[in-house]
Amino acid sequence: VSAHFAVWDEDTLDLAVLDVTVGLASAERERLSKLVDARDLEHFERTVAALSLAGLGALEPLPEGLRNRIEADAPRHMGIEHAPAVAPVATRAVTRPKISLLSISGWLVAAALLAVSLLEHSDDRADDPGKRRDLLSTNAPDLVRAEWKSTSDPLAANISGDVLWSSRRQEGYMRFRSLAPNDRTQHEYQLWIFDPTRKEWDAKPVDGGVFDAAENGEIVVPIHAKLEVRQAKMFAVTLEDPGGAVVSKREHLLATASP
Amino acid sequence: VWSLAKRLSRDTAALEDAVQEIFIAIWKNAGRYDPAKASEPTFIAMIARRRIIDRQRRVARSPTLEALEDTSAGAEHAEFAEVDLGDEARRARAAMALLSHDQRRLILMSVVEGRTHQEIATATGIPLGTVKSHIRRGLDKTAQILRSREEESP
Repeated sequence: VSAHFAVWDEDTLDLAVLDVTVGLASAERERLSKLVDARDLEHFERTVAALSLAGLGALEPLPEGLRNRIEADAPRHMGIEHAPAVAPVATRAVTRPKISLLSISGWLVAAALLAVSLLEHSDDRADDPGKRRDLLSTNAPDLVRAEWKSTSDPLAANISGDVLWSSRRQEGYMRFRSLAPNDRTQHEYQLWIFDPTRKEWDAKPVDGGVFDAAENGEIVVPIHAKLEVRQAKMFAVTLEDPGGAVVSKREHLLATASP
Repeated sequence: VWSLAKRLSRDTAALEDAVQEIFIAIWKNAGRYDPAKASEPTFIAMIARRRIIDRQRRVARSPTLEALEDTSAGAEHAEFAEVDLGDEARRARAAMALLSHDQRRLILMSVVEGRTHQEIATATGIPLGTVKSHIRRGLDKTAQILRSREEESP
């Protein structure tokens, strides 16, 4: 057995134990850091982390609502710029989002799934959404197409356009005409996809992503479904608080589209 | 992350907020990950533990005696389950087998359940000084065993 920690006297060891179990005040932590080698302290903390894993017992999955919130949070914290998801078909210059590969390396068991999803989305944004929409419409064998219909909500104002979706590719695009530009600090648009193969599908549609309209011309918006959509029975656009909602209150249901 | 936070955190009402905070910390610290030093689950557990501990220090805890009594029986008989969470966790489990029964039991209550030494003393009836001593010696021994096994590894 290595005597590496034999050099820690009891007081130092007490401090280290408190540090890794209940935490220390900043002054005490400062004192501890002067008493011991940082690598030894890190090894001690790693030991306790390994013990806490060893004692976990059965693992529980993240609650779905929390998982959705974490997924929605991910882009802001993983180095992806919050670029508007909307582009005028002909004129928009699309910027590639900045993403650190280190931030999506394979170690992060739970977040890796999110990272893969985000990378795929970053590739989507690297090309013109209008062109990618055209490619999907000619290549996807299971393409679903539906026309937007405005609701009676006063904010809906003659929304028209269509939506394309491929369940096989989990890829889709919304095209809008006359979607009013929004102030993203006040409200953002959000897409919902109703998939009858999911439990409570009519009450809890799949979040299709939050987006903004920068101008009132024709725009194409990539769909970023947060969960797998096996069958798209209906699409709906709502107006939500900035960042979107986990479950929409449907206070402003602006447009729907049914294949 | 969820399971670890749920076991360790006392503030169950704020548990989801804490887990969100942990994920943000993991993303922000991802660049520091060194596979030569720790397995992925251990690295994540270190960040998660630190976040929960910091968070709990910010929130005044007021556990009731009833709450401690309710949960202490489970802790007395809790065992380390066979869940595959990386090399360090496997080695830690093996190292724990070399500790005394009391050391194992008290470390479980401290490290996994996040109880303070005083709370453990109250729940078990073991004098506070003895609780501290068991945990201190048990963790020290486990750290030394893990260190020696790391050094033996090629």
